[in-house]
Amino acid sequence: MAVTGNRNRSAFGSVLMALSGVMVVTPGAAGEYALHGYVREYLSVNLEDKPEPNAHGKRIGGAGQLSMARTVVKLDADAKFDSFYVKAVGRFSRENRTPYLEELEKAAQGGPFPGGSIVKDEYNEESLRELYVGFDVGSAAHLILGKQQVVWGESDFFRATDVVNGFDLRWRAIERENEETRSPLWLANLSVNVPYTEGQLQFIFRPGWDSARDVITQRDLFGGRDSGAGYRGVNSLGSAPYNFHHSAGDTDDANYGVRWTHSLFDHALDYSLLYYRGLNREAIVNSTGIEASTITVGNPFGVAAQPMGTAPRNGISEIIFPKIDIFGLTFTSDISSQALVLRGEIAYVPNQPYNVGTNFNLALPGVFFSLPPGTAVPLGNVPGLGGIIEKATLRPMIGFDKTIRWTQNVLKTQRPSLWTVEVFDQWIMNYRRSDDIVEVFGYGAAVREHQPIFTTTLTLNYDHDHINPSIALLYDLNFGDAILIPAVDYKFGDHWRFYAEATINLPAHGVKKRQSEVENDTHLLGLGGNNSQLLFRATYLF
Amino acid sequence: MSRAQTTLLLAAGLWLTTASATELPAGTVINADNIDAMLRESFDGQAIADVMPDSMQLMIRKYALQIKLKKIQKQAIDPSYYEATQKYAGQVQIDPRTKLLSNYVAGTPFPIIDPANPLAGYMAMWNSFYYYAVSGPSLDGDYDQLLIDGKKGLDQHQTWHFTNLPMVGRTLEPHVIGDGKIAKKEMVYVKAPYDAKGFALLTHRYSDGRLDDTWGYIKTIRRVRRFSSGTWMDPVGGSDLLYDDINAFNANPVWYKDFKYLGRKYVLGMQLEVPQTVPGAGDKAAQFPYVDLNNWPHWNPIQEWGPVAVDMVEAIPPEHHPYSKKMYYLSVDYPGFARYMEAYDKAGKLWKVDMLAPGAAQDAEGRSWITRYLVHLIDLQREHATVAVGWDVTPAVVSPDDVTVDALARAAR
Repeated sequence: MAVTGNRNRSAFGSVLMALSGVMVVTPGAAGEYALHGYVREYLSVNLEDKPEPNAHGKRIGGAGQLSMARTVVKLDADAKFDSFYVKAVGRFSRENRTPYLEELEKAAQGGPFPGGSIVKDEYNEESLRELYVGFDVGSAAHLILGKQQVVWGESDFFRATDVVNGFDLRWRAIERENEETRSPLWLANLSVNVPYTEGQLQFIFRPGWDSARDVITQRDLFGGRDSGAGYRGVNSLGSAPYNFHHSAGDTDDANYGVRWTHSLFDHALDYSLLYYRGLNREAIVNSTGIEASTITVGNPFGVAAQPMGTAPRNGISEIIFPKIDIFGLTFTSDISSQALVLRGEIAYVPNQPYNVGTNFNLALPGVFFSLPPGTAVPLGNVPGLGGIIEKATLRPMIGFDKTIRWTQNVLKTQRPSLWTVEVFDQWIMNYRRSDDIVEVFGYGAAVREHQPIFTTTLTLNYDHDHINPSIALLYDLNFGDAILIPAVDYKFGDHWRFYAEATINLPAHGVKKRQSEVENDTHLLGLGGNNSQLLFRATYLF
Repeated sequence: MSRAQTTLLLAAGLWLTTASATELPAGTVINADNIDAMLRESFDGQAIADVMPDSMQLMIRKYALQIKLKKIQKQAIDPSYYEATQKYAGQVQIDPRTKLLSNYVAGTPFPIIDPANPLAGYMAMWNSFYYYAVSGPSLDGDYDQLLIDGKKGLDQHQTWHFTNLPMVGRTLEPHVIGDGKIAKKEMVYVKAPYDAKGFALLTHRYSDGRLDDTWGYIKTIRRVRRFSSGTWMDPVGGSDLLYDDINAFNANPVWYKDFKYLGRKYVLGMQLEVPQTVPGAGDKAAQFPYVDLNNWPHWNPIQEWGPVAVDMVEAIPPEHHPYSKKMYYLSVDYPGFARYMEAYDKAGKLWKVDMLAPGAAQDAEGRSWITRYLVHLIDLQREHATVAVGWDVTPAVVSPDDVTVDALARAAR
């Protein structure tokens, strides 16, 4: 049931109060409001055994076990008045501590850096997702104030210019409906129509009022179900905790950006130019770790990695989010004769930080333990702990959306189908192999100058869009790793939606099996190795 | 037999037919049980057999359509429409080669169509292209879309919002907004159900024959995407309509292969005069009392019908279009409004029937425009229907800033 209308003001006010806890709205004389939402249940099953050790040193295994049993309630309220509108979205999520999650949690708690409760601390949530007010400023400008999502760019899977919001990928690493994982921020968002140009300037200002975790992209670094290969049941945040208020980047600092959108040649080409000064949302590990090979008789204390800004508070490593500048260009063009929309983007980051040290053997000087000078106490191989290097980086994407009609004859779809292709690259400019940059922290593979990834999605529609199968493929053009995601969406009436999806990880080589393993075959699309999943989702809309 | 003798015999036959036909009283219901008898009668001075196309008879005989007769009174259109038509129609020209118009300013481009003109079909369809001349300066409002399975009944109810801003041919001055290239801007977005809420489309329709520019907002990724205009003849989502079927004709005439004008006649048509929805009523059937949701095949209108004058046009779509032919019955009283449409598949078999009704609404200054609409589009081959109830689409003040790409995302929020 959707509640809409102009009368039930007290109910709406109550809902907003419940959602925000701080805001009471008394609609004016001409208010129009609506309340929607859903109750949703996710169930996910492991399709593969995990080779990582559990708390007792045996394989975690887990194939066939439930990896997720998540119940979500979402409330989405709108109010529109003569001169402004208000939006409030809240989400409440609770997870069941399945035997598999319990196994991961025990393994993480049994390690040298015990973690907390994965379910309570990382998966459960009560969040005010969005709360904003929008209104015109004069005749040519519109201002939206509050907690909101601002999406730039053209890429679906890899985001070069979608840089304003971070993502919460702790509970789900690959979510195609990415509004569910994007982390809204408290922003001032001003759009100005520029006279005589049909162009628009957008100004974004983040005053720094957000919860630190909302500013960055949170990933499963605590050993949960979506942690990377080799790290299931390992709490990496114990040895490298977050530092959200580092000298190189502080989540409390203000961020800002500007975007110009315009069309050329009578809308034959839409483009945007953008700039954003914010944090590098992906984790970078700041280090003062000592490489074992540098500890010698002549230098018994060894050579510590050079930290960026202030040194880690624990003396070895911590995760930081350095401030960066992002310059971007996006474009899109309709090639109607081919029923195809060409789109692309390119982001330039002059100061993109990377971790270095593909074979970094962390050690402590033996002299600390009354051992002879030149001896080292090894702590393990930690690729990436050799420090941080900044490199100018280009991230281009080119792709298209094409309407294909042959599926009507060949696959008997009821209507033409949408086929999407994107090729994404990360080009490290002035690349030197000797920089020894790791592709992914914690794995020994060195990054290459180019990191091209191909993605494609095909969506089919049957029975008046009641049944919608789709398939997505992500393919690493350097190393051959792939992720295949077949799915089917089923609509039943106005209220029920059912969705099933398999995430099938197809690494081209073996992937890391335990934290201590020294290897160099695990790449970005191999991180989900041994962790293929089957997901079911049931939703009741109201 | 001489031509004169033939004419005499035909006239005599016509007289005999008319003489034997009984004028039916208003309120008479034509249904599957009595249609054969009713076809021999007349109503409002028109022989029932003449005003009931074969496809409409099929809907009555096979799909339980019931037609309750009523004399249809023409609803008022603001005098400014007639003034603009009278002032500018005489100067409008159609290029025999490109089929494009020149010198069009406002009003209906071709209020008088000469059947002998080889471009008469195009003239009628250009009237349909500029149908919004009778709907006032701009439109805004919610409409409901019901997707109906002939066997199972209602399977989806969607609420959409529609905004229309004519940029060229505006009945009231200024007659043109902008540089005159864009004929109109339209924006639609879904308000319910929740999983579709936030999907939105913005379309620029051009008068110079080029394909539309279309942008879509997809809420699940919170992003505006360019949509290819090469899909104008593709189905709209899970509905029974092609994009080209919206309001029966949603294309630029030059995109078609040809139009043949078949003359002016009368056909049974509907007209909206009372509210079509009951918001907040108990169930869907109660919310939509004029759609026979409770009875098989669940898609029939519960309306009153009467003879209305139409221009008949046979439309020949381009090669890759799913249809081989469309038959348009375009209102004479509200020039360009399609009261009825038939679509035929590539094998020439009847595929879809579209029954439409206009309705008048007043703007804030009390001017009357034809803005409301009802659409019953039935896919006879799949036995599925899409019913759109646009009673709340009424005249509104819309500015160009309300129909922009940026506004698209805001409206869909």
